[in-house]
Amino acid sequence: MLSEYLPIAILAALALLFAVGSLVASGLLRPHRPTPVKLSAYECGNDPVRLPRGERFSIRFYVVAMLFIIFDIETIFLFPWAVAARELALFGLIEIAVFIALVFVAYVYVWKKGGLDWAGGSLTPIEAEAASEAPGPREEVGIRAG
Amino acid sequence: MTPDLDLVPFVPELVLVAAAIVGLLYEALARGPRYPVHLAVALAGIVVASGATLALWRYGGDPTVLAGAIATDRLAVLARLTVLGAAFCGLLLGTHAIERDPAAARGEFFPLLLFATTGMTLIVAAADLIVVFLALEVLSLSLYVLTGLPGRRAASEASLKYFLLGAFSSAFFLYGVAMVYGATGTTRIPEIANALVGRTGEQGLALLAAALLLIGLGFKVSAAPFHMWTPDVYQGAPTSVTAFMSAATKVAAFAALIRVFDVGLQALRWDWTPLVAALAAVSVVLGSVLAIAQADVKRMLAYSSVAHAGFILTGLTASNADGIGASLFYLIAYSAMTIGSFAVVGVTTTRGEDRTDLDAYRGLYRRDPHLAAAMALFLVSLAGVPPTAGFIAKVGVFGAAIGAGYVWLALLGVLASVAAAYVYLRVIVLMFMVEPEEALVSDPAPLPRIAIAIGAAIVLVLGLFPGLVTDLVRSAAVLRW
Amino acid sequence: MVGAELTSAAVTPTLGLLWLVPALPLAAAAVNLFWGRRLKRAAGWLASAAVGAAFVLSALVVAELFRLPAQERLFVQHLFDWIRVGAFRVGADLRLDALSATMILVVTGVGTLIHVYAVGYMEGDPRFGRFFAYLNLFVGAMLLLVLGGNYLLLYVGWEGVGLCSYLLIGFWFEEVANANAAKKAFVTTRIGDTAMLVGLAFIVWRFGTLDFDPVLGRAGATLTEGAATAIALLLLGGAIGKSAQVPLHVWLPDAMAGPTPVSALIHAATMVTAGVYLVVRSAPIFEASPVALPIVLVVGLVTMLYAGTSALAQTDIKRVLAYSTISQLGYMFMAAGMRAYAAAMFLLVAHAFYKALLFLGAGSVIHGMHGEQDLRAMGGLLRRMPVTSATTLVGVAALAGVPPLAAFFAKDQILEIANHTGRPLVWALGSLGALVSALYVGRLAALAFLGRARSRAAERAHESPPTMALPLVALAVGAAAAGALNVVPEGRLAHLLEPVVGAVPHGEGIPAWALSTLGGLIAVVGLAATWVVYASGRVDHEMLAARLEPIPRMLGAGWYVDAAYERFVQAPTLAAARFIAGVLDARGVDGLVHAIAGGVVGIARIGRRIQTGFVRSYALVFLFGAIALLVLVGARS
Repeated sequence: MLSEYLPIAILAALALLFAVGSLVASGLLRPHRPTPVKLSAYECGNDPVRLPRGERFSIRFYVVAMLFIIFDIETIFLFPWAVAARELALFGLIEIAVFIALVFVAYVYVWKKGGLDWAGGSLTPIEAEAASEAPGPREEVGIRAG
Repeated sequence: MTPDLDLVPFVPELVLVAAAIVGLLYEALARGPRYPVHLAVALAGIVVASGATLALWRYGGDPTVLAGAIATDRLAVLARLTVLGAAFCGLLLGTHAIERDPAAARGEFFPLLLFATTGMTLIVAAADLIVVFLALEVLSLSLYVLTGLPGRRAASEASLKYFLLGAFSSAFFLYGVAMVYGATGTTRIPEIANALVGRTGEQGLALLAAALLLIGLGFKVSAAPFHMWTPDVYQGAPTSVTAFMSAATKVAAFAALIRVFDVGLQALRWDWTPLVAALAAVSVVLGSVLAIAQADVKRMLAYSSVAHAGFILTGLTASNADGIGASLFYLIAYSAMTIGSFAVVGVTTTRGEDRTDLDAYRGLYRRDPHLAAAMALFLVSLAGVPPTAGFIAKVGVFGAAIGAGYVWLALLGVLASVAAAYVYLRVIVLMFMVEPEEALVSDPAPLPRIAIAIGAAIVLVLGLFPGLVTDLVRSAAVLRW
Repeated sequence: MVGAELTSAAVTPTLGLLWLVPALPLAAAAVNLFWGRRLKRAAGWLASAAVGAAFVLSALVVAELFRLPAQERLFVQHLFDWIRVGAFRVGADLRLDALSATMILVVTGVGTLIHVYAVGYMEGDPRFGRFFAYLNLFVGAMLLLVLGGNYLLLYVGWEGVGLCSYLLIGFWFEEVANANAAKKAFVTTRIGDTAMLVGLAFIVWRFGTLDFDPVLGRAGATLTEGAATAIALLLLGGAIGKSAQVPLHVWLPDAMAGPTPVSALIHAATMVTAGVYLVVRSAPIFEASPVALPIVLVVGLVTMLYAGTSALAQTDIKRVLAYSTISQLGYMFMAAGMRAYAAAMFLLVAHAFYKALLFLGAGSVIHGMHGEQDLRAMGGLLRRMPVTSATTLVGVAALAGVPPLAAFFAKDQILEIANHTGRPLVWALGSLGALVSALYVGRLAALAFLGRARSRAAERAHESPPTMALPLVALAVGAAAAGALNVVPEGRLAHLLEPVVGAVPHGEGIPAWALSTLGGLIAVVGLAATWVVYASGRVDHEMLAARLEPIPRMLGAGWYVDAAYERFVQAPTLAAARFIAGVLDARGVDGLVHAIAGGVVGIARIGRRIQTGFVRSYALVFLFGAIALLVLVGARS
């Protein structure tokens, strides 16, 4: 039974071999003569001003993304129901009503918690804490386990 | 076209979800002091769900309902009750934590706890691998958030670690489900069993599936080597959440493990029991040894939890009613001990999460003899000394393993228990024989004491009169499908 | 032995209350343990009421039992399945038959009086509530011991009794001597308990169960002589420890370090009688062995004479009584060794009354003399403590065997059975023992109550409060009247016990009336002799003792058994321990342990190094684990 997958395994092995092989080969074959110019960053020609680690996105992007997904899924479920609504009859109607009600609860929660207040509005406690911690260099995340 | 729905075996989950939603809306809409209402709603949900579960003990309908999604056997009932008991205690502890530190409190604790509980009660009854996965995600996501709820650095970090590694393990589990489907053409556990019975020849795919499912569930029960998250998360999470999840997650994931392996993959048991034995051996040894080096009680209990996962796995190597029964008994006993001990950790000082180091336990007996006595009881039980539940539980799983021919594993377990006894005795010595060095005060709040009393009572009663639950456990160990 | 053929009675409402008999004292113990301090004096009354209620219940239940026909006087109350491992199961079963009925009546009856007495005696003790919690626990454990329907439950009670004795003997642990006495009692009885535990393991191995009915019913058929001997001797080991028989008797004289009510409870109602009960209960096993019962007989005989003679030279009033108890228990073992189980039980009941009485009397004396325990400092207390003295003198006469008091009948019957079953030597030595008992107890009475006061404390002694005096009176009545239970060897008690322990052995010998007359004479002569020597003032007994040296000193030191143990057992053990601790352990074992511990710590350190706190390394470990597992699968398929 597993033998059916043998060609895939061989292909995967070949691909790996090729990738590793070409890197190794180019490493061995190419001339190695570094100059400061060659080693400098060539992206847009400028040295990076700071490490990208300090860059943070507002949590609100994620909240909006989650909201989008919630309603996206709701829509996805509504379509098949709409197609088969007649056959599913009352049972289907109740089912989809329960489903929409559940999603609606999530909507109410997010709304009331200020997830939709894009401008202004008070910060939620989590954000307040994040904001207070934001300035200054951030140490490596992780308690060294004791 | 109305499908024939028997919702009765699903009522506990419906009740819990309903209570959770009420709590969520209340949190969103209400103003002012809210915890009494939250507590009342959540308690009502848990109590009603427990009642509904209890009624299922004598359920006479089909072995599975809702298109094969939900099993109705007694394993589901007993495991659900244990989870609900843990949730009850977790609720008491969480409420106390909120009362103590209202500033860091989040009302979401209550609905999240109920959602997690729902996932757990669902997973123990899930008779379809898809439902198992769904329940696994429900409980995991809720727990990730619960872990990070206070927003402290340690908690957030623990939450993120738990989430990342949890996602990793979910992938393994899901891959396993896919493999099972590939091997048998179904995800319903009873049908998997039927498809595998009597099949001869190449079983490679099914075995691969078994290994992947074991990895996924092994992560949840914190079996080594999939245990790495446990110490960090147990330490970082609020103690009330740690208490709840150390007990309830184990019960839930082990019940799922039992159903998946002892029903679905029963035909392959000669092939997967060595894997379980290997995990058990590694967990028992690593958990016991690493617990020795800990200076923080929560981390110590976390490693102890790894070791106990190993002991429960030891019972499952038997893969028969004896082994399942022994493991179920162990789960009940372990839940009581671990919730009890974490509850003590929560109130040892009034400073909660700040003082979980062993030094806070110096001379606890002088400060609070009742608390010290309860902690000693839990530790003695964790060590497996008679006449406590932990002793009876260990005897059960070792007996089952020996009966199944895994004498070496039982021997290893006994040796590891001896080594681990040091861990627990050290704390007892600190509590009783050392003078307190600092002027610490234990928290006199009543709610955690209730949880501690419940745990202590169970540990003692099961230790002295194991016969009281033998019948329940044995009839729950007979799987119907 | 016909016990196994008893048919079990059906539950009636009254019999169904049996479980409350041990439950009440245990519950009261729990209450006193937790809230004793808050209850203050009420703790004592609660404890007394619990035991008293248990006594009333016992009486009701036993009355109900004896209403049944003789062959149906067995009631087994199955409470729940306690342990079930495969086919092996042990139930929490209480078993009420004539034997356990006798025991529970004695334990609760005498126990109640001792509790009431203790309320007065312990007045003002800072740990009053704690004391009564232990006392209740003691009684509860003893009831569990005698009511247990299987050997395991018996063993639980057995250990419970041992634990309580430890707690109570060392109750005033502030004094090192008391704590040491408690330790001694615990360790010494522990030696016997270990033998007993091995015996239980043997029983499980041979019978597959610990229930009395199958074990005792099939003992003769199942056991080979060797196996029966092994089990019987192992059980006897436990009995010797608990009942303070030679050679494990050394703890009992020291055990009087505890408060006097504790001594009374240990000596009369609980603890020491457990060994006798065990032998009588396990009689079929002992009978299945050709040598077990003769050994019991010899142990009893040796103990009886040894302890009796030792009692002669004690100066501490409680020590006299302690040796007396050992001697009396020797009598009971003797009787059991001759299959005269009913006679053994009869002496046990009678002894419970007069020994409780004597101890409480002694306690009252000590109380009245503000802690003075030395007989040489007493004298003439009859006038100053009339109630105590009068009642204690009744106990003295009862113990000595003055007709028609309790021991007259009980001892007489044992001697009669010895004579009639063709054991003249046993009879002769038993009679000698009876004389010795009359002498030591007479000496105690003469020194304490008669003559003139020999110290200021004795001159100022005062009578004890009513809570202490009333139990004395009740016990005196019991000690005087207990003989009526069994006036002849085949009397009422023997008749009641017959379905459980079998018929009283009988045969031919010197006519019973002649033996009884002799027994009565021995008692009277013995008491009279001590009066002449110690109280009449005509003999200088100190001079006499001095002339007899070193015999009194040897007897006073209990034949130097303690010293010998110290020299030949304790000292070598300690030396060996020191050697092991100092040399073997420090260098060898500790080295090994340190090496192992070092290894463990090393592993733990490596573990900590892996536990870096970084998710990426966790995921890596996870991945390695998963790969290892998959490789394992691959290797197997």
